[in-house]
Amino acid sequence: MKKLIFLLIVLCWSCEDVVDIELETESPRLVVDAELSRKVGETIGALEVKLSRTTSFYETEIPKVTTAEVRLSFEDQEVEAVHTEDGIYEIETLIIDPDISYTLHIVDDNEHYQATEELTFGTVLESAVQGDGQFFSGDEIEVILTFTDLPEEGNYYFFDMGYSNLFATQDRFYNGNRFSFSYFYDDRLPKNTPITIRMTGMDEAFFDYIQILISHGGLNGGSPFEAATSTLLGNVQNTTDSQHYPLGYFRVTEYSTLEFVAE
Amino acid sequence: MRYYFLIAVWFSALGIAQQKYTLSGTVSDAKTQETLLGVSVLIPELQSGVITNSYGFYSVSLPQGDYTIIVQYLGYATFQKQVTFDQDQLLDIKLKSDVQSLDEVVVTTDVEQINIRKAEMSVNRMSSKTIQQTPTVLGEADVLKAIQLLPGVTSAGEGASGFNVRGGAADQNLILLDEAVLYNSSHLFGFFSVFNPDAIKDLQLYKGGIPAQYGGRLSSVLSIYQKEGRKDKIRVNGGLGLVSSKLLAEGPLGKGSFLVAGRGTYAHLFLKLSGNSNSAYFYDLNTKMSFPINDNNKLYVSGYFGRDVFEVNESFANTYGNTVFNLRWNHLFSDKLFSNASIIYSDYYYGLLLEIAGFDWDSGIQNLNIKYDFNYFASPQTKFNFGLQSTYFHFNPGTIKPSSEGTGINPESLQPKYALESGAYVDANLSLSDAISLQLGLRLNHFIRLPQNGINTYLNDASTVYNPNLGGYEAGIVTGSFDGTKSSATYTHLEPRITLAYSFEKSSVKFSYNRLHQYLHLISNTASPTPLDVWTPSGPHLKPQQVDQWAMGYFGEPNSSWSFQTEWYYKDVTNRLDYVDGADLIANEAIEEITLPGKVRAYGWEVLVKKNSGRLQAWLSYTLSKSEQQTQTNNGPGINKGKWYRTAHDKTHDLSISAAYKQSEKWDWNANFIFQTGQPVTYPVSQYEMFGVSIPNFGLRNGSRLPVYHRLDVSATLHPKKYIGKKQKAEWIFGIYNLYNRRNASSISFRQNLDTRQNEAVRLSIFGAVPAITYKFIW
Repeated sequence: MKKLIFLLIVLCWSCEDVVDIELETESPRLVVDAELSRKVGETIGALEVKLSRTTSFYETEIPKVTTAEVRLSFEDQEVEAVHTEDGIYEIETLIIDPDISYTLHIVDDNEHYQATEELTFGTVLESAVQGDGQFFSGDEIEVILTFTDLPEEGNYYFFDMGYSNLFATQDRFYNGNRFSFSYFYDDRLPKNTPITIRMTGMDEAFFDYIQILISHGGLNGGSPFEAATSTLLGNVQNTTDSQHYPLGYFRVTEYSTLEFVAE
Repeated sequence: MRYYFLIAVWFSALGIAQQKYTLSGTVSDAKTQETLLGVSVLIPELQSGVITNSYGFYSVSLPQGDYTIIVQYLGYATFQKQVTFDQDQLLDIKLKSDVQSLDEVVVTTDVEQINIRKAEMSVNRMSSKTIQQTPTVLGEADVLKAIQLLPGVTSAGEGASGFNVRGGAADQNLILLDEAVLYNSSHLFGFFSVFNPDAIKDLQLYKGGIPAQYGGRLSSVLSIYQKEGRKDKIRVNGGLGLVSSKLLAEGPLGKGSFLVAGRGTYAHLFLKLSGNSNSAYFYDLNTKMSFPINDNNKLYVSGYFGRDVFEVNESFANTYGNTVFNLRWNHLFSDKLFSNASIIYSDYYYGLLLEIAGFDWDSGIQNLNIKYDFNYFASPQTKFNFGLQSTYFHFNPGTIKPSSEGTGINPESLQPKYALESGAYVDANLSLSDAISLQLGLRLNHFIRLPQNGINTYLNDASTVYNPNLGGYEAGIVTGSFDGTKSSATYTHLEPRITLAYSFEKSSVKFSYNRLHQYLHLISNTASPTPLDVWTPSGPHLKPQQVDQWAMGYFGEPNSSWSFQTEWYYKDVTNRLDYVDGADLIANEAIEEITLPGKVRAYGWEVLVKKNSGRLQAWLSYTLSKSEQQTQTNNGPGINKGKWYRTAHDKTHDLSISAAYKQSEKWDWNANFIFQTGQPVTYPVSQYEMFGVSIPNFGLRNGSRLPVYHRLDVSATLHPKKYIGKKQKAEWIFGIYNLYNRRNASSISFRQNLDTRQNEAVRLSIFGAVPAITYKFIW
C-alpha cells in the first residue's frame, strides 16, 4: 500500500504534455547561417551561406531564399557566391588570410545586409570515443571528446555533434590544457551509423550567441542554465532598414572533424 | 481649545505633566512559559494600551491611580487585574491556554485581526496555529504557502521559490528568521519553504508602512520568530509523512530553555523509481536556547542549518542552503527602556559538482550583522524604537577547482566582492488623541562598496551601449579598472516613514508613506529566482534601487466575529535592473554590461474579509493589481522599444479563500481555493533555422501570459478519541492538494519534437492531485 502511494506521488511529480497555445506571427525576417571556414592547418577554405526566412512557429516548412545576391568582399576584392541548391550559396575555394577582415554582403528584396568578421582559430579534435557513463535517464550514449586547448586565454569551441546536437565550451577553466569531456546523446541516436562531429573555433561574441541559441532551441537537455527568452540578434545588420533586422550569424573559422560510430 | 488639548496630550505623552509610575514585565504562556509577542496589554480607563515587543516585554507608565489591566491573545483566556499605580512594579503575566470546548464561546479577540486604532497598516500576522491549519502539498504545513493566501501576496509560480508582494520581485523581500537574513526561502526548488512550522512562534509580514527598524529591501519584510522552548518539562513531538518526517524536542535547561527541531525528506525519493541512483532531498535543523541571567538580562542563542541536495548518477551533485547563527542579549536599562543587542552570522552556500566536466563549483554570500535596538515605553500613548545596525557582506561569485586529478580543469576564483551596509533609525509611535495615532520614522542608510580588484571602468561611463547597426545592446568599451585599494562607490540615503490612523467607533482609516532603498540586486533569467542566481551589491555601475510607496486603507470590525479591511497602494521604483535582449547571465562577472536600469510602477486594490469565531472560520482575500516596468536609455530605445511592459510578477487578479471547520472534537476540516491570473511570459513570434535546428524567435518582453492558475486543496484532521484530554497526543492528517487535478502550467516551452520534427508548445505542470497522510504525535 505504501509503495502504491509513493508511486502515485512520483507519477504526479512532474508532467509534461503538449498543449495548444495560439501564437501571433510577426512579418518574415531574413535568416543568415553563413560560415567562411578552412580545416585546421590548411590555408584554403570555402564559404557556405544558407538563407531562409522566419515563419510561423508551428509551420513545418522553412521558406528558403533562392533569389538573393551574395558576395564576399575583403581588402579590394569582391567574390560572388553561387546559388547551388535550396537557399545555399557557395564560394568553393578561397584562401583565408588571418590578418584581413571579410565582409559578407547580401541583397534580398531590395534590402542590403552585411556582416564583417575575421578568422578565429580552431584546434584539432583528437579523439571521440564511446564511454559507458550515464547521465539522467540512464539510456544515454556517452561520447568522450579530447582536444588540446590553444595556448592563449579566451578560446571558445563549438561542436556540431549531428542529429540536432549542438554544444559550446570555453577554455576559462582549462586554458592551455589537454582536455576531455563527455557529451551525452539521447537514446534516439542511430547505432552503427557514422556521425560526423565537427568542432570549430569561435570568438566570444559567437560563443555568447550560440549559448543562447542552444537554450532557445531546447538543446541543452533541460539544464537549469536557461537563457532568458528574448530576441537574439546575431552579427548581421540590415543597412537599408535597421528595424527590419535579420537573424543569424556570419563567422570566419577553422574546423576539425572526426567520425563517430555509436554501438 | 482643541489646540490646548493637543498640547496637553503631548505633555502627558512626554511625561512632564505629572508624577507617573511604571508597570512592566513579560507576557508568557502559563504552562510552557514561552514568551508571547504581539500581545495586547490594554487599559480600558484610557482606551489605550501597548503591545508586547518581539521578546514578550511590555511597559506601561501611568499617573498615580487605580487601573484595570486587560491582556488578550488569540487562543488564550483573557487576563484581567486591578492594579494600583503608586510605585514602579514588575508584573509577569501568565496567560492560560484556552481549553477549546466547542460549546464555550471564545471571547478572546484574534491577534491576527486588524488592530483598528494602531498606526500600523499593510501588516499581516499569523500564528503558528493558523499556518498549521493550512492544507498544503504533501501534507506538510508551509509558511510561504500560507502567506500566499493573503491579499497582495502572490506565488512566483508552481515549483518556483519565493513570493511576490504588491507587484515587487521575489528578491525585494527581506526574510528574517530570529532577525537573521535568509537569502533562500525554499527547499527543493520551491516545493517546501525553509521554515519548519513546528519551530515557529509567530510571523509578521509587512507589505507597506514598513517601520524604520527595517531596511535594505523594497517590497516587504517577513519576520519570523522561533519558539524558545517550553520551560516546564521536556516534550517531544513529531510527524511522520509520506515524503518527509520531523522531530522536535523542547524543554527546560537550567533557568532557561532549549528547542531542537529537525526535518528531512526521504533521500532518493523522487527519482529512485526510474531505476537509477538519482535523488533529491533536503534536511534542516532549527535550534534555540534562552538563558535568563537575572531580571534585567537575558541571552538567546539560535541557529538554523539547512541543505538541499540534488544528485544525478554521481556525475552531477548540487548542494545549497542557509546557515544562520545568532546571539542576542536583552537588557533592561530601566523598566521603560528595553534593549536588544545582536550579533548575527548568515551564510548562503551554493555548490555544484559536475563530474562529467571534471569541476567543482562553490559560491555564496556570508554576512556578519551587528545591531543594537531599543524600545522606550514612554507612556501608553508614546513609544519610541531606535537603534543602529551594520552589516558586512562577502560575496563569493564562484570558485572552481578540479573534482579529481587529471581532469584538465584549472582552479580559478571569480573576483570576490565586499560591502558594508549601515543604518540608524528612530520610530515614534504616538497616540495624539483617542482618534488619531501616528507612527513617524526616519532611517539613515549608508552603503560602501569596499575595495576590490576587477571593477571595470567604461568609456563615457556607459557599461551598456546601443549598437544602432544591429539594433541591440552590447557591452560598453572597457577603458581600465577601478583602483583596487579604494572603495568604488558610497551611497547615503534618508528614508522617511509615516503612518497615520484616524479611528471611528468600530472602524478606522489609515494612510502611509514609506521610502526604502535596496543595495543588493538579484538578476534572474527566469521569472523566479533559482538557487543559482547570484546576488550582486550596488557599486559604481549598479545604482541602489529605490521605492516610494503610498497606501491608504479602511479597516472595520462590525462585531467580534467579523473583520474587514481594504487597502489601495501605489509604488514607484527606480533603478530596477532588467537584462537586455540576448543577455547571458550565467557566471557573468560584469552584470552591468548586460543590464539596464529601469523604473517600475505598481498599484493595486486589496480586500480581506475574515470570520474569526465559531465552528467555521474563514477568510477571503482578493487583489486587483498591475505591475509594469519601463527601461529607457539616453543612447538607445531601451528594452521593449522603451515602452512599458509587464513585470514577470504582474498578476491582475488574485483570489484566495481559506476555511477551517471544526466538525467535532474528533474531526477538523480545512480548505483553500486559489485563483490567479497567469504569469507574464515571452512567447515566440516566429521560428527560424540555424544548424538545421528550428529555433523559436521570441517577441516583446512578457507580452503573453501563462494560462490562469487555480486549485483547491482540502485536508481533514482526525484526533483519535483515546487521546482527547490526555497529555500524550496524536493526530492523523489526510489531505489532497489540487483536488480536481488541475494541470497548472509551471512553464510553457517551445521546441521541436525531435521524433516528428513538428514544433510544439510543451506545458510543464508540477502537481496533479496529490494525496498525503501525516501522523503527528506529542510525547
